[in-house]
Amino acid sequence: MSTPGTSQQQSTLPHAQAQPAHLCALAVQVRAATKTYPNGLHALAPIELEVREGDFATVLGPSGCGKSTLLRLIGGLSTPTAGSVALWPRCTTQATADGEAAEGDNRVRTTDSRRARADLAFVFQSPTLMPWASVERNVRLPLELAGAGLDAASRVEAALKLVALDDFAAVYPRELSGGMQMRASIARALVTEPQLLLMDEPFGALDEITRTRLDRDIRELWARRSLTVLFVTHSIYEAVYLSTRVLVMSARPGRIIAELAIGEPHPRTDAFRVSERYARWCKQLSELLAAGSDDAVATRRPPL
Amino acid sequence: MRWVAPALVGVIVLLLWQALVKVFDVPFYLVPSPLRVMRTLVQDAPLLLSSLLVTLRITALALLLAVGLGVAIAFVFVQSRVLETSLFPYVVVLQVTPIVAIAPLIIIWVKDPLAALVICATIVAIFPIISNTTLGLRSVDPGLADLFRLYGARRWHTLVRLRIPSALPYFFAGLRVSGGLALIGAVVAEFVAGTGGTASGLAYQILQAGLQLNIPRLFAALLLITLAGVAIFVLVSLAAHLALRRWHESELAHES
Repeated sequence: MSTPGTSQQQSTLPHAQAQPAHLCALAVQVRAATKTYPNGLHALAPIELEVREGDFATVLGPSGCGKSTLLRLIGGLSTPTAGSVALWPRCTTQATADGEAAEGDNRVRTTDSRRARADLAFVFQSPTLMPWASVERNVRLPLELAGAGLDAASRVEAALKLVALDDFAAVYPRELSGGMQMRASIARALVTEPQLLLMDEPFGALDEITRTRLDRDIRELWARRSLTVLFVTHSIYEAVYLSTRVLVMSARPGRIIAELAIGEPHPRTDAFRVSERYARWCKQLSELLAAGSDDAVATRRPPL
Repeated sequence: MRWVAPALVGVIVLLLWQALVKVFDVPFYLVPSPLRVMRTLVQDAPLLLSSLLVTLRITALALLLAVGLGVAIAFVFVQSRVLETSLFPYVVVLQVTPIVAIAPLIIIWVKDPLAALVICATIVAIFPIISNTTLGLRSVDPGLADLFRLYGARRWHTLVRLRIPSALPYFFAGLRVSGGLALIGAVVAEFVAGTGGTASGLAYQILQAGLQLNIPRLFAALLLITLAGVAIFVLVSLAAHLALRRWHESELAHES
């Protein structure tokens, strides 16, 4: 149970991530979730997925494998046909594999939808900004929809500063470059100070240079804000650079076929991106991906 | 260039018209010269301007009513597909029935002549507002719709912050058509009512002038109707420009 004493203690801890992570620190728990669309399209085979708090988890898979569908299920924009999706699932003794009870853990969370909604933000494939509103009003939107009024101005300002768009508050989206629009979109996601950030191939449409820069920025933000990020991409290079953990998905119907922890320290420099170790991670992931698609082809091939 | 070229064409046509009337000595009760039309306009100014005011009043009231009712109906349609499917065919029926055919009925049923004329003009003007606004309210970027859902936006917020701004460009396109239609509706209704001798709008002046073979006055009245139509178009375009200039493609200056 949460007591004032323990919560005080927690908030004064310099690194929230240093909490005993094995106890109860799940941000996302997907259990046997499937998705079949009304038109019969079988998008997701049963998916098992757990994202721990503080993870930078990346879902990697070929186009059309159901990565976005999975993210929409987690974001609550779509409901699973079967199985369950829980955010910050309530810790129970059963939930911890090693049998350690959740006693003393003061970070018990429920999947209360309103709470989860406030702690979650989504960055879409395209910037999805309101063209009729300035950058400042776009970023303010989540606060207005939530009815949070008082410190909105300072929070918007802080979010814009975080993505280096503070000089562009009054500008309209179409006056910005693609990369700046995406940064505005990220500022909008961060303005509610979410704990979990879902990102659906956010930089896919950008040029290589902008993409590299935004990759670095988002990893900085993740480290600085102790965020939990679930990132979707089809780029092996991006996955290796960003993630603490990569989940490899097979072709449709998507399922998670492999998981790889990228054991590289933070910060990851530009030098890392040209190092031999980086190349080895990429090769390993690429082999896992290839194995997955071969597997899918093999199962689809009619028996001889 | 945008203003000079059409103005030049106008001046050339007027000069040619004046010259042809002079050279062939066309009698003014058949085709009056532009100069004579202008002179008549000045001479009959009190009569013609008061008629213009009557017609403009009907047009303005009809346009206001068409916008108010049309937008309200569009909102209702957007709330429920069932309502839209059930009612939209009747809106189309209203649209395709020629106003000249139903104007006599309305003029008989509605005692107040002004109200009768406004109703006729509203019927003519309302369709583009309904159809365009409905389309606009439905044309919401699905990504933005997801975003509003993600943050648990209430219905009212989604309407005011998402649906209405998305619908504005469509609404203004409809308004541009409806502005002209309101004037046409007003003039047609006046023609029908004018045969009963009740109204004194510009259409009535045209009827009277025709009967009296006062062709210069007929031309002068015609000119005023045309100018009124152009003025309405310019005003509506200006409103659209003010509302959309910062963000919508249609109102942004094109760089070449």
